[in-house]
Amino acid sequence: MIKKISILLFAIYLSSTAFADSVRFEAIASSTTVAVGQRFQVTFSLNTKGENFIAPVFHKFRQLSGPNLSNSMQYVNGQMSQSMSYSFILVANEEGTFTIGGASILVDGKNYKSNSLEIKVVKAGQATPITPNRNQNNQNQNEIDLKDYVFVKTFVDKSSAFIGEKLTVTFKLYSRLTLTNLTLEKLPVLNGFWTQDVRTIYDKIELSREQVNGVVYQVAELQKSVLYPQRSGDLIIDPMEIKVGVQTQSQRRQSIFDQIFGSYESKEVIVGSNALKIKVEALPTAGKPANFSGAVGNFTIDLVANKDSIKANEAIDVTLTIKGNGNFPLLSAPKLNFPADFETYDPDVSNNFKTTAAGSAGSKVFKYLVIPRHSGKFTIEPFQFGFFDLATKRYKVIKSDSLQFIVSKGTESEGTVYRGSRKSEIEILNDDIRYIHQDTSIFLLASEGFYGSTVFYTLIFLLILLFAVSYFIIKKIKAKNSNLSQVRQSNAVKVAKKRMAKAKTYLSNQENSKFYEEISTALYGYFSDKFGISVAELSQEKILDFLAKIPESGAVQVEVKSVLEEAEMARFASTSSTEPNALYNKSIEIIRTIENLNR
Amino acid sequence: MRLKILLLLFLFSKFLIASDIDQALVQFDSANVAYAEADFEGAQKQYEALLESNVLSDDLHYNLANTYFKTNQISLAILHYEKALKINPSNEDAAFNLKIANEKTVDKIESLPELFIYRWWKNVYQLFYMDQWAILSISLLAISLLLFVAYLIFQVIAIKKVSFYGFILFLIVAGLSWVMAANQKANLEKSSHGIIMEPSLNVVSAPSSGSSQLFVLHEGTKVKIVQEDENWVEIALPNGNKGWILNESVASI
Repeated sequence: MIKKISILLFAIYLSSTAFADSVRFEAIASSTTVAVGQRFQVTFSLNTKGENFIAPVFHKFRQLSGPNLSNSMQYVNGQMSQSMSYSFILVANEEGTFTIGGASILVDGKNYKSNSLEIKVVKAGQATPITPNRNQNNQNQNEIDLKDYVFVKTFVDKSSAFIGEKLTVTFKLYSRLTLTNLTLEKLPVLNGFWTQDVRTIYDKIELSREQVNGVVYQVAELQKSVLYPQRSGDLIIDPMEIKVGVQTQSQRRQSIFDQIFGSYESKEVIVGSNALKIKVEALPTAGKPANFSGAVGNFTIDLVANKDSIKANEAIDVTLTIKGNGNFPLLSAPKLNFPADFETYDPDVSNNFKTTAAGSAGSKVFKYLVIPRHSGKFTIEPFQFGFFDLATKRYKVIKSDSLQFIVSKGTESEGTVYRGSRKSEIEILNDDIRYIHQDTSIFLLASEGFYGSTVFYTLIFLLILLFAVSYFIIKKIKAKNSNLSQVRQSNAVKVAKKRMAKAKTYLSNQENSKFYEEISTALYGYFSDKFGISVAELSQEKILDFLAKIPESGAVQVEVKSVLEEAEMARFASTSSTEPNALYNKSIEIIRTIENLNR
Repeated sequence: MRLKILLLLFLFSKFLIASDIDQALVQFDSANVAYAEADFEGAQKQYEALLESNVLSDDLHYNLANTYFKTNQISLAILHYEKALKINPSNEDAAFNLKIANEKTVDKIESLPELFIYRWWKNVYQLFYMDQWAILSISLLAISLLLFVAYLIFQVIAIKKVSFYGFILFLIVAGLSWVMAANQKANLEKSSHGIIMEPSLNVVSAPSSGSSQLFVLHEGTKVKIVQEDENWVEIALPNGNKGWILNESVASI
């Protein structure tokens, strides 16, 4: 029976050539002869860092999983070497011999191609020695037996932890048999943990001896991982299952040759480790800093800028370094308190920490690019970093220094950057401002304005005074006038009587012309006083008009008219149709009648 | 008689200070010449000296603002355009240049819409400057009083009616003009607005250096000064935002 290439052997081979400088990119199958339906693993491993991995086409095989990328870094004598591998789990579909072509990968710009693999697929049952070719009982017994000889055990360095506290989990293979083949059957699922493998099954396996219950076992560390719990509660570390090929002494009837040389049978057996429960405690809420972002461990911070005085629109690098040990892989870029007017970009993160079984230690560097857009004096407030210190089980806040910048005016106009988003009136931007004023309309000393000055108030005062004076004058004149007419009205009869008496004396003295004049004056004067008619306006028509307004004055009107006319005639023509005495009596009669009517 | 004495006194006082003003006008002209020869810095110095000697003139502020604009000191240009408009709201060139200068500032603040009555008021307010309003007010008052006298004297009903309504109308307009003048005077004496002088300025929520940042303003932005507290001032923006800044970072108009 053709034996498969042992991973162990390969590992030893690898270790002997690991220091070679040349790039090696190889394909390895976990077994080159497989049965139909049997799973096997193809691994493409590279002894340096590469990119653009292109897998071959697995024509006759079904791909169950992959590519599963695994990276490893090693420090040997201070030199770092990195390797990576892509593995696929395949299953054969039909019998025959098939070739898996080479994969290609890009290393430092050069393309490398791996070797191709020839896989022989046989009928089911043929390739797997463990498949029953004897009765069921026998096999069961066999397997139970085997479990005492080969087993995997999981170890954790602590069974309870805080969120973010480092845990180390180790899967160890114990064996008292010669192992020929080692295939990963099932990777442990580590739900709720952030995981970093320190050692994987694909690394070189170191064998050691260990006594368990008085029995000596060969022990190989299969996988060692650093875990950071991500949530609280009981988290389970799943068992790891591997398939090992073991050589056991044949229990078949032995031939002569067998008895001489010993007869060995190769079997494949799947062994699984125990599951483990980890109690994860949530971080205390008491004293939790406001800016706590989940950092657990012990850190120091440092905030520096590459320059402290620049011109506007030039870039500054602000570097925040977090040093110490703790859950570095989970640290996200903190938000720094940049002045609101700075243009900031997402930081460039570089990881300068190593994750070993002892945890992650080193530093994480965040480089922020910021561009001040305007001149001025700016301060970046001290950055406060809060973390949970596992040693004291308390939160701790550390503070960086504050940074000061003096930004001078940039060479280009500061506003230019924003011009695209300007308002719609952009069209007038091209216009120049209007020219200065050569002549001034207002040019005076600040204390000298007209409004509020003494002159202003004096003018107002004078205007009002003038107005008041003129108002009173007009009022007075009016009052006087109205008084005058009233007096005249009340005295009208008296005055008329006096004049009539005077006329009578003229009549008795035979001075006829004087008599007529006095009669006329007396009547006109009476009407003037009575009706408030000014002397200028006094006329026969005017008097008749006023008379007309008095009710039942029709007869008097006629009388007045004839008397006035007669008096006039007699005065100027010295001829009269009526006797002076009759005229006198008529006049008196008129005045009496009007006085009666008015009452 | 008394009026004559007052007028004489006024003219006499005019005569006393006339020499100062003449001197200032000579300097103003020489600054204008410097500006015409594109010596903006030189013109700037002379205009500034005139301001120091207490000259009140919108054109002086306007010309000074132009020199600041030409030497790319936009916030100072805006400050002096605003000052020119404060002295004489009818200075249309200052309003135009202010608009151009404002285009060069960074902050664009949407102002809340004004009530239409307020817009009308502003339009009327900007027609004249203080002393023009005062003269108008006195003239209208004189006319209205004449009309009242006419109302008292005349007996004819039509004339009486016209003169009475005319009196009321002119009295109201005279009063409004006085209000305008008084308003401008009050505006001139108090400084309710300011221009941000810092290239970039954090506006904080309370008058102390540790308070939280609200927003950032840049030079040339006009803000309303709401209140002062020692060396801090509370400012308000046309869009309604409010906050505190150090008073040295804002120049009042």
